[in-house]
Amino acid sequence: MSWAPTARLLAYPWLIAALLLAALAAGRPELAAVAAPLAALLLAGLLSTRRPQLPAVLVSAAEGRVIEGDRVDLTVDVAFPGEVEALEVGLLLPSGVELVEADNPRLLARADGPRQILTVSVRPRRWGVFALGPVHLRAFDDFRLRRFEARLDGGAVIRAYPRAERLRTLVRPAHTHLYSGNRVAARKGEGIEFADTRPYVPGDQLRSVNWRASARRGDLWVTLRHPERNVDVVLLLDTFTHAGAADGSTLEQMVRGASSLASAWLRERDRVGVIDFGGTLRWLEVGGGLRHAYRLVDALLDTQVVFSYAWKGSEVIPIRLLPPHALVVGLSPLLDQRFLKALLDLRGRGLDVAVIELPVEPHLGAPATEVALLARRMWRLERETVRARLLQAGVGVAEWAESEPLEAVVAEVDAWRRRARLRVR
Amino acid sequence: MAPSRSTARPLSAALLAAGLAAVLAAVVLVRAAAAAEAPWLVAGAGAAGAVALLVIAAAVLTARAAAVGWGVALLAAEYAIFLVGRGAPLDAYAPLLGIGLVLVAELSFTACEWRGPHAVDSTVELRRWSRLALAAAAGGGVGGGALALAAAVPGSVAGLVIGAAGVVGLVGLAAWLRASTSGETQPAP
Repeated sequence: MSWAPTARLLAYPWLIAALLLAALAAGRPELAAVAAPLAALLLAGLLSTRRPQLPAVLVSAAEGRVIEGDRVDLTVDVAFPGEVEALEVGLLLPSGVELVEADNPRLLARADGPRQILTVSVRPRRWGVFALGPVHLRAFDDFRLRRFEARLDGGAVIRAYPRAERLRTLVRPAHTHLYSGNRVAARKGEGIEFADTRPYVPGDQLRSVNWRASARRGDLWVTLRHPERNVDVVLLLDTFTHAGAADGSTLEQMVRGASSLASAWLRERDRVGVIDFGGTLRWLEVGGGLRHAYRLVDALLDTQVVFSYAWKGSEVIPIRLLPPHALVVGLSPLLDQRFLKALLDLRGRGLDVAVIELPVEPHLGAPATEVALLARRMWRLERETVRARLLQAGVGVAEWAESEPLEAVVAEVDAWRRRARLRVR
Repeated sequence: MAPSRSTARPLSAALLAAGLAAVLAAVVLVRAAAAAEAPWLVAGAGAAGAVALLVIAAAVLTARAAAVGWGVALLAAEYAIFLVGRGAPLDAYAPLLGIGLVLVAELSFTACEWRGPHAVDSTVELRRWSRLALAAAAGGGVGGGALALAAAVPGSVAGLVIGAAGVVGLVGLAAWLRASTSGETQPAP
């Protein structure tokens, strides 16, 4: 452990020296006698304690994967160094993780045993990957003249997943995929939902004959049904920029929303992929199933804004990431023109695109001056124009205020698409 | 073991430190008033004592440990002024004042530490104070012995040489400690 003198050790030698010097100068031995207790203390302190060995510390979490806001119990296993009487153990928590009902730092006494285990409860306030630690160790010598300190890596990592909102309504895609799923396809075929009736033709299965219609018409009629199919959904995340502080920014809201949407679509046996479109391009191809769900949420945890000046369009997105007839759902604060252009390009290419807008205004302060107020009004008008351009291109947009449920926003986008009788080339 | 971090602890240590410093300053001032012939010496001692009290109170209230040394030095300066005014006979109470200064310094430093992010354990603190009292008492004993020796052999050259060597050694130690801590900070979890 490294050592440093405490304020005592920095003050006492000067005090003693000054008193001795004064004793010599004034010829008063009393001043030397005044210095004697301080000198005894200094001598005893410097001679009494050796530098302690570096203790072994291991931090482990009861659960490595949790949902944000859940409590995680950590155990800090400390092998106590024999040279000191007490050891302060403090866990340095990363931003976004808070302590729950525990003292930090904690003091361990040598009298309690050579190996001690502390239990510390923490709570991740937001989603993310958090490396817990380092562990800060601090000890003093017997007279608190020297401070011994060390910082050791904790070695524990917790992955806090976003708390997904359970959605019952989802954006209905214009096209379904060929694979079976839970979504009623627009075309007719084998399925459960009634679609239409038509006259019997040789080759039709006998079980599809609609006997009531046949009896009324005096001829054989068969029932047509909508098949249940799945859909490919690509979540396009705008990582060019974000608004707000680290805790509670549009990025945090975006990942939470993406997680909720992905979970909901995967529950419906649809295939979901994700593309982080920003300073860097990261993606996870469309897929389904539980394993893919875990991969997807893990990929979402690594989402971050990477600032870049480089102009990028939708052409940088590999074509295989956007399957034919896929529904592209963009989540964006609509601040960056590159993302906006990419959305319009994708729509122009004939893809089915919808956008959930993350509001920026709550993260801005109130305008203080007349000019600022005017600028804010102009900015609002610009954003209105952006929304109008998207709607004009057939891209449904709805703003998701953090206080309102995502389901309401999804329903709003879906309603607009139905009203607009969206047709995709 | 249940470490506690109550806010009453630093306050009580601060009050004790300031109280003890006030008592020491007052005792020295009263003795100076009784012994000194020149009024400026009493005024000087009083001023040094008052400033010492202010510095110590400010240090413990604002948790500035670096100022504690100055407060204690001013208390010692008050005593030195008293000695100058007192004249020839040796003051047998000097070791007691030394022990008092140690207690004021330790209480003040402790009050400053307890205001920071330190965990405190009563048992550990009790042991530390026991050791500290023992060392201060031993130092007081040595100081008393030195005074007795000085009374027996006035104007000793050996004492002068030992004193000068002690000063040089301590100044060297202080300078080395200061240099060894350049850039060090006290991080707190």
